[in-house]
Amino acid sequence: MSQCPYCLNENPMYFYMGTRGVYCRKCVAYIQEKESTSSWDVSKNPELSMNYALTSAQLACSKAIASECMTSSVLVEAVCGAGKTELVLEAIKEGLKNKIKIGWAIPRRQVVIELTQRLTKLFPKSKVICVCQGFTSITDGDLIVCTTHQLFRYPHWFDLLIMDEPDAFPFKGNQVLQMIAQKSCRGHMIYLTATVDDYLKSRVSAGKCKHVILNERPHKHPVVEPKMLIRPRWTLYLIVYMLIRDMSRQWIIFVPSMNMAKNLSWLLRCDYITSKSSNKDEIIRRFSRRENRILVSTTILERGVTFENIHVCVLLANHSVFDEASLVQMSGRVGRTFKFPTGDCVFLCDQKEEFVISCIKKIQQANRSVYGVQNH
Amino acid sequence: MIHFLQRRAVCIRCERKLCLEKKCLAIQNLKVHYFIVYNEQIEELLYRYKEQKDEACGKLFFENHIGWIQRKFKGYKIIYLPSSKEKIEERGFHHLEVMCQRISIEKIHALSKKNKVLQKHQSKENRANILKHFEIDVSMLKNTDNILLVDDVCTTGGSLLAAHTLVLPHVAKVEALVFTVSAHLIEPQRNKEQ
Repeated sequence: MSQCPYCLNENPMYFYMGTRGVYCRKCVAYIQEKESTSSWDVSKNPELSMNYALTSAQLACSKAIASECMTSSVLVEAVCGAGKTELVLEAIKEGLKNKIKIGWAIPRRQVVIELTQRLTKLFPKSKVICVCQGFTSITDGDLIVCTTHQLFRYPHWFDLLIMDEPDAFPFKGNQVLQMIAQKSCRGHMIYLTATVDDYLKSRVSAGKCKHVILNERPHKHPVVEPKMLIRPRWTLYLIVYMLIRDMSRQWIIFVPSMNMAKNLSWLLRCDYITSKSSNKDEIIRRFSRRENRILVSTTILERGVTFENIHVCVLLANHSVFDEASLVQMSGRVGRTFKFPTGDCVFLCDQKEEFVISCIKKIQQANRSVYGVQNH
Repeated sequence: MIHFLQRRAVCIRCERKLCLEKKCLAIQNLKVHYFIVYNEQIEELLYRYKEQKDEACGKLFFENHIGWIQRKFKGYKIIYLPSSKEKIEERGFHHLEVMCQRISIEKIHALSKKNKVLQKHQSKENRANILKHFEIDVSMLKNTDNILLVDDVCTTGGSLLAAHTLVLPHVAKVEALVFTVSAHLIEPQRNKEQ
């Protein structure tokens, strides 16, 4: 075997001769047995039923994406809460009309399940399929929504593959998943992200990818600009305490480690959520119902969640666990709804760090491109 | 020296992390030899080997103690704890056979499973009933004095004891070799020692 058919690995170190023959150890953990591949002919007459109107900026982007994605890959750079999902609906509709294979790949399973439910309502006449762990019995339909792990089922399959948040864990930096994604797309890709990484930037500058930018949220309020406070480490905890004193405000406090989340939640007498929490859904539900005012979280809640009227504080924002992208995402949790379009976002640091400053600059730049220079 | 390093399945640094030490415990009348107490790393390793079917991991389990196993159990014959045929077919390889591939002790397939019963899905009480699902081929045990039962994980000891009960009437001595045992099997042993 000179090249792995799944992850395109060519390094002979990863090939192993077992009882079943030669296999690639680099991607064996991602490749499971293909349980079912029932084939499905694409339905005719797709219908998009959206019961709310897009803003003029969203409409312009949506049309641009729909026309560009037929001829080349498109990078959609939109600020957090700009409605990235809505932007590609037009492109999907066009694709379904032309009977091409369309896939929507997302790194996180929970988001796949939620998005499938949403897309099923939006495209009532089309068969929207959810493929992720626990949902693998049906693998073909009009529109396949899957985790990036499941793309191995579709080699050279998609004419249009929408990569949602390619800068999210576990897709980010995972060469095997990136190769599997590349291999599954025979046509063009649409990348949806708020934080463009170097790889995508290089693709745009090389002319391989069209760039569509949307820096305006549907409620037309600017993205909340974080405030950076640099203080000695021990005073940061006092500042957190001062911030959360106002009983009418709901706060998410992001911390860099699970241990710190546990300790801080003990100090503040509140819930905490980490990737190891067994009752994640319950904690999120309680917080969104406003039964808990404070929630301490690791980066697990940095993207894919929307709470109404919350404020965000990032403790030790200069910690190496965070980077520019994760800080942008965390600050993007504030002011996402029409009812509460503003809020507070505070980055507490014990040292000045380049990526914290560049995160704030990036948000300011995005706001300026739409609203011009603002006085604060 | 290079030859010695090339032969190792686990590098010295990883081996230290794994803390493989030869240890022994008794479950009722059965002497069980093991190398490590079940932990998160071992769980991951076994998951990669058995569920994700990375056969190359099979080398990691007994490889560094092959010499000791061959010396200690000279004159023994190995019997693998039975797995269901469906599971082996689905996996594509017999996990215990691959683990013991390089151990030059005669192996016999005297035990088999009648039904597809997975111990990990059973309750603690039901695990003890595994005996009724095992079958023994006595003809294979002729001219055999000592038997070594081999398994990867020992959680409650139910399977090992069932195999022990079936094999013991036909041979003189039975011992068991497993790669890892769960922590709660060790604790009563430690308390006794104290």
